[in-house]
Amino acid sequence: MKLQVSRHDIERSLTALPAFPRVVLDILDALNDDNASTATLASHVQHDPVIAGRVLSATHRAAQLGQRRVVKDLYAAVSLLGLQRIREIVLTANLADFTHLIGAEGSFWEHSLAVSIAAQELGNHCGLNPNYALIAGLLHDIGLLWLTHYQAETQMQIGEALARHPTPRHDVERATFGMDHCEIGYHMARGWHLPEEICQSIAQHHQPDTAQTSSLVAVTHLAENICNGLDIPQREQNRVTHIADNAFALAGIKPEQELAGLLGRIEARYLHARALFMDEMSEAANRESCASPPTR
Amino acid sequence: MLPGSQPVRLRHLPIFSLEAGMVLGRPILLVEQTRVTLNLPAGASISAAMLPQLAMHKAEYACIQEPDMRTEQARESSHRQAEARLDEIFRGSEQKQSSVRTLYDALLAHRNTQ
Repeated sequence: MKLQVSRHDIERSLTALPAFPRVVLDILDALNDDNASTATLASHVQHDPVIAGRVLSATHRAAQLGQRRVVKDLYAAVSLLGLQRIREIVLTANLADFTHLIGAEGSFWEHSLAVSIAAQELGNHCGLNPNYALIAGLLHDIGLLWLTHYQAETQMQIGEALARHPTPRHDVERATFGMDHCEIGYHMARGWHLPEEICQSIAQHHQPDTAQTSSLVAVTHLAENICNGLDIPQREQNRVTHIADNAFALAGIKPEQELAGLLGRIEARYLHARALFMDEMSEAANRESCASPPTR
Repeated sequence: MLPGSQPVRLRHLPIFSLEAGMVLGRPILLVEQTRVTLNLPAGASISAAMLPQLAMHKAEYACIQEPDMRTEQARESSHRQAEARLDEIFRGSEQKQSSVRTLYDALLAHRNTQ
């Protein structure tokens, strides 16, 4: 069955979906100014008690490892963990809440978290902005969530068919919907006014355009393949089907010398982040399961 | 590995899995802005007092080295298991493509050290 999904459908759906967290855009705007960044974070955390609790809890957990004092406010959190780490916690917690509101389940979220960490780790090699890598990783599969939300039954059938006959998912989606989750995610990210570089990395994370691929695209593409190869998180559907020929070169990675260390670091950092975030994420998921489903 | 000596393996562990007595397999160099906040060489033994220090300096993981105590048979079995899982993950992939092969080989080598 062919179900045509159009760009117009996606743009129209954005108004029915929960609002994209404004703080993500504010943080991106203030990236180059630490004072403005701290003020943005402080203002946001003060006005959102749920996120404030999340930040302080994650910070407190990190503090416990270091046997430090109880963390009571954002400024203490910044001094303990550093501005960049707090920024990452706020971005991750907000995007976790947002994707849970659209219907993300645990394994979707854990996969996104793993890819975001791998993207950051790979991004260090080519001097990428760590926040861009983080957001690209967290949102790379957002189009998949859209399809699960609006085309649930067909998506389930596709999942079952792929389990029987492994084929690139995006090929099946294009044949079924007229566009794949990468393109759907691209239109969503554009609609939320995310930077074009991040939109492109969502659009091309399965099949980078080899002639025009940016480092962020190559990094997101490699990050997903590496996480699937490492089986983090463990999921039956983890697959590696294609890696663009120039992906390692674009990401500035010499596989023979550097890949072994990268794999170990990505796995260890994922376990660390999972320990910091997952209890909180489970609570968010539980809250959502008690709330009414969003209007379709 | 020298003939007759115990093989050594390197493992990256999150800091909450580190224990006193473990030996660093790679140096830890932590930098905040432009200041080096922690510099530990490979071969340094992790003491109990060092564990909170690592967390305090925002370390997320460390690479440790330890003797591989597994028997040859256990290593073989673990290798076969890892290979079978990787074959499943890479089923349907373009295995002849060099970048795919590179990742597959690196993952298998990585799994053999775990």
